[in-house]
Amino acid sequence: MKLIKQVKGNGNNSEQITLLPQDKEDLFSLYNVINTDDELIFKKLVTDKVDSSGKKKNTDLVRLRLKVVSSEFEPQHEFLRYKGVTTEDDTGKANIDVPTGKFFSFTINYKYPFTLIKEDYNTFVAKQLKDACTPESRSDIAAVCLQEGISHICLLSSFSTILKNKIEYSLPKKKRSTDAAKFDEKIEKFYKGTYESMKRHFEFEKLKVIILCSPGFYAKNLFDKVMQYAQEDNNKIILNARPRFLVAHCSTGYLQGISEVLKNPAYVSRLQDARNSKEALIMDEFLQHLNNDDFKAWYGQAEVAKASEMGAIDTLLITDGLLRANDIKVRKSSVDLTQAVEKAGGTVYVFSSLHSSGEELEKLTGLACILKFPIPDLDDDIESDDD
Amino acid sequence: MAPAYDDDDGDYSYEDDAVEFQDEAALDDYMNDEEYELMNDMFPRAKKDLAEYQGWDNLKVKLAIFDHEFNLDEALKELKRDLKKKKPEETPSKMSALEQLARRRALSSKKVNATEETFKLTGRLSTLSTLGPRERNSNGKPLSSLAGRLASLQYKRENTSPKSPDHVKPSHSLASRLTLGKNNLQEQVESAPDSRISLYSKLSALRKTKDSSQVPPMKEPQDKVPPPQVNDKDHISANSKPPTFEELGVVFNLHALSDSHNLAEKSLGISELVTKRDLKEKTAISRLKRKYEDVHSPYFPSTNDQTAKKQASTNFKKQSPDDVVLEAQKRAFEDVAKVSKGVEAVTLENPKQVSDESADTDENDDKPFSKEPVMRTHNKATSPTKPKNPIDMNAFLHQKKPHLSFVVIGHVDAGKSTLMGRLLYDVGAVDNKLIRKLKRESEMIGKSSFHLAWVMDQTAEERNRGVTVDICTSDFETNASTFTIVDAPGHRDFVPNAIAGVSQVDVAVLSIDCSTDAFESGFNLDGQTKEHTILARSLGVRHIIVAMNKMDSVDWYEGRFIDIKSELTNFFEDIGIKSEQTSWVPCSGLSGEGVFDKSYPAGLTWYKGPSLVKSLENISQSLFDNESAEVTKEPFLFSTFDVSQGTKPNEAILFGRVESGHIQGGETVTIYPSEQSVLVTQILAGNNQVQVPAAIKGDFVTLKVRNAYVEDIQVGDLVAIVGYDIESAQEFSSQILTFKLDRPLLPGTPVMFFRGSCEQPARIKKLVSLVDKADASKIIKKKVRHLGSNQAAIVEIELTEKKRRIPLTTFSQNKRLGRIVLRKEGRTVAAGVIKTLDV
Repeated sequence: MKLIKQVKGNGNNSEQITLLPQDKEDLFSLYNVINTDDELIFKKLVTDKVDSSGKKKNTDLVRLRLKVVSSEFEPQHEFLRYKGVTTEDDTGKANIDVPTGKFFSFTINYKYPFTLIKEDYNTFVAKQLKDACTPESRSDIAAVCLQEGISHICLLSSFSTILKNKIEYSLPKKKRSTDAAKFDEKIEKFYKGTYESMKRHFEFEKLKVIILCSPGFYAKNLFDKVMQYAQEDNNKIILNARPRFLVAHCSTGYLQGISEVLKNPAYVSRLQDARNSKEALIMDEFLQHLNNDDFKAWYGQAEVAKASEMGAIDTLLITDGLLRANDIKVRKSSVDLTQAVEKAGGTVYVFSSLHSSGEELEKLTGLACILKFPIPDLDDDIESDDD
Repeated sequence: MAPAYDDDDGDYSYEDDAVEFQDEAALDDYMNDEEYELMNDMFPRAKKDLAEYQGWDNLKVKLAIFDHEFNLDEALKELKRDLKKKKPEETPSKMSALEQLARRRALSSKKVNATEETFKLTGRLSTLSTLGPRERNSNGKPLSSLAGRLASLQYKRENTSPKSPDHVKPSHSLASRLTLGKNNLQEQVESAPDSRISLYSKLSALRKTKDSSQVPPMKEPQDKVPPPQVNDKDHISANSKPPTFEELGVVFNLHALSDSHNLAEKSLGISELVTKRDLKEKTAISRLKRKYEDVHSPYFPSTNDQTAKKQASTNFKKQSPDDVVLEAQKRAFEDVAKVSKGVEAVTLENPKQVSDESADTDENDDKPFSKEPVMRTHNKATSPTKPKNPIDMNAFLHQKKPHLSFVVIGHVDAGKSTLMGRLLYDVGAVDNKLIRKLKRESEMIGKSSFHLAWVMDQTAEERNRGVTVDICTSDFETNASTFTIVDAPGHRDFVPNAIAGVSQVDVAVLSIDCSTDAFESGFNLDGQTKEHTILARSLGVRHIIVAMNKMDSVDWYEGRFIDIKSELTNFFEDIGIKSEQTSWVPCSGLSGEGVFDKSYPAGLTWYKGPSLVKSLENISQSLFDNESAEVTKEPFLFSTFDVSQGTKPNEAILFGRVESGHIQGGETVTIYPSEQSVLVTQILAGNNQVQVPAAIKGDFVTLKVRNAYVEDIQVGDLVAIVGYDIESAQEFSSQILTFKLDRPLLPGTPVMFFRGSCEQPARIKKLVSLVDKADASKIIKKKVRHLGSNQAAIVEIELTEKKRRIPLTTFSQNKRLGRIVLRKEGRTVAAGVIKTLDV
């Protein structure tokens, strides 16, 4: 993402940021940053719907200023759209000849910059934008997770795990009467289908690592097959990417297998760039504390808030969902919490809800923490409240 | 059209959909290859036949052929009829004298730029003259009186100032409609100006069309008319009017006619027409609103416009916009779960309706991608069918040999496949020739000891690597009973397959490698001996036979047998397997002692029990004796392990196990979750797929079914007899027992969910309560933060992939199908039973 212009806000004015998003990760950053009631200024082709003659239609490029009402985000299709109503523009540049209170939508594209006017500009937003504007923090990883007859073609970035395609072939079950040759033929078809899908969804030149993972030997087989097919197609791009393939082991061909690989210490050196592998490890550490029952790991709104008050939090795990919540109160308290923890010397990990670890945390109320020291009775008085 | 038929009927009932084709290419695209060829064949012939007729175009001819289902003669007949009717030049005799007069006047008025009034009268008269053959045949009197009526209207009109067409609102025509059927004179006088205004606008539009000599876009394919010809302009414009106006015209005529009482009979006829159309009125009006431009085109009341009628009636069957809104409002007050359920229900019952609804209310229809496909469901039969050649089940049961299915489990390389190969070889299910062949092949790659395993391990992968990957079923028969063997893989990566295997059987044979150190390595923490045994116990296997395999490698030493037995007995007690549920047999899979009839070596004196096959026969007999009575009472249930397309269209071949009850050829069953009802044509059993008259609980059979949509059947689907419904769910509450865990189970923890051969990613949704291990009804703790090792709890589980629904039965409905296993990161973390489906 490119930051084109930033006008600092003060007590009276809101922060104004002009941005040009460049790729799908920027979309997710924007999704985290732009909340309802923020304002957007952008240009849009607007077509008059009814003309008096009923024939002619005018299409004009209009500069609009909207107040965001709702958003739609489809990471799979790189689609982010905001809906909003036009507001009064004090600069006099936007919303000319457009009545106030009219509904428009704005689909984020990579071609034209737009301006975001944000009243509650906070540290989380600042960090998100800073991260998004530094391309070094990027890592592009592709993964294929497969088992017999099923493969998942995914793209991993620092913010997201996106399932691009799922290949499913129903393979005949072994029976004494089944012809084994027919079975091999089907398997071959399955690998071929997976290879074709990889070709379609992966940009091999840009990828840093391509993970192939499966239980048993399917990943290794797939790797061999991919190389063989690439050889046959004389596909130089894939052949050149050969050293960047990582054949890994996991227990299942479903998406859970990928997080297993990201957690596995055996592959850490290859996956250092992947920010989300760090999150997976933190989550695992949290679970380990919980399993040991050493009273250092807690989750839940009230518990974490209490621990924060005591200044006992070593690591805070929070989902981005809380930091971009539509409810301003929730958003504010979440930002305050992260600031408090950082002030007390703790670390904050913001989990992306597009990752499996973030999804897991979301189900755990979205807030969890690892303490500096055990507090056995942290939830004593809280429990009585709930019942 | 019954809602439940909507989806699958879509393939062939395109007439009901009233597809509209914009041009020839669209029609060509719409046709399938076969139709396209037929069309190419017929079209030139039709063209030749129609050479003497005027005013057809390619699309019209093609459409006619298409609509008559490629019956060329029929199509031509209709085309010719249409063309004749619509070409007054060719059949002047059929024209009423009046209309001819009107036409002449119209033409002359065009030349001299006559007044609007003349135009109006002309348009009106030409309309009336084409009201229908009935009117036309006896037209003299009514038409002239109509003309009189029109003249009076015209007189009134002159008193009011003319309005521009832009002021004509659909509400005017609505108002005129509201007065429909009322004979009150006052009302009619009121309605007259309204009608007149529409008439006026129509006329001005007619003039406009003439000036630009342009035919407005047409709506219905049947309305399509020949390309315009100069001397024929106004007629064509009249033809191309939208169906709404035709109705308006009829209404208007009704007023006119009913006013003149001497025409009582005629008006009755027309009012009948009107009442018939009453239903469609609303749709027509709404269309009128939308097609503003169409309103301004002249009209032509072609009363036998079937497509328009059909279209109107289908439109009316849909939910009205008001209903859509009301329903949405109503739903908003129900809780979220209910809403999603409701939406799902609607989707099931009437997918078409929902898509219409979303088109109306959803503003996101311009998204650059399509929505996720909804899982298809089919129409479910409600009445059972009788077997084709019914047999007496009791007699059948009486003469049937007991059947037993068993799985071979154990640590990797414990010799499971070899033991099974040996067993099949010794009982004669595999012939010498095959064994010799396998032996030769295995020696070639230096794995000669694997030759028996290759009987079961058939794929290249399995043979080259020497591990079993997937389960393999095979049947054999002894004098006393029939058996189905399921050979399960031992490698930890293929435990999911082993789960599928264990879930299919009644009895498990646990193969233990008794050679030095091998048992210990298979029995420690990560060995599959323990995991498989736990799985067998959790999935409801009734009996475990411990096959002390490879005893020949320790020279049949009794001390080794006793050591292992005592260690295993402790373990069995821990996980709750009772001693009467186990039996112990020393054997050797490779050499064959203790498997079937090969006697133990002379040195073995300490074991006097039955051989492996003999033990299986005993269990088989006792289970059969206990349960054969239930077979006739229980409903038929069948779980699918393999699906394939049959040789005939719409034929599917389902391999699986009869879970309860019995089935005979000719009965109708329903497959869940796709809810398609299919007819069982044949039941095949055994290695050679011999047709059998019936199958009963526990049998492994292949069902050939008819009327099936194979693409919607998946491994793990359940089949039930008509009348026994199986619910499908994505969330359910279950009672689980956790095993040794590395990491606790929390809300949100992702797991793999197994039910029989179904494997799905899932996650824990909620920890409800911790319960007592011995007594599940005793709740220990209500608020649970996490689940540790060896705890019993009630939890809610949800499937991650939302569009996948899985047919589930609770434990109380079916003891076997109600059992589940949860795994995480390659370990079995919990096992349990489904308690309720509605969370």
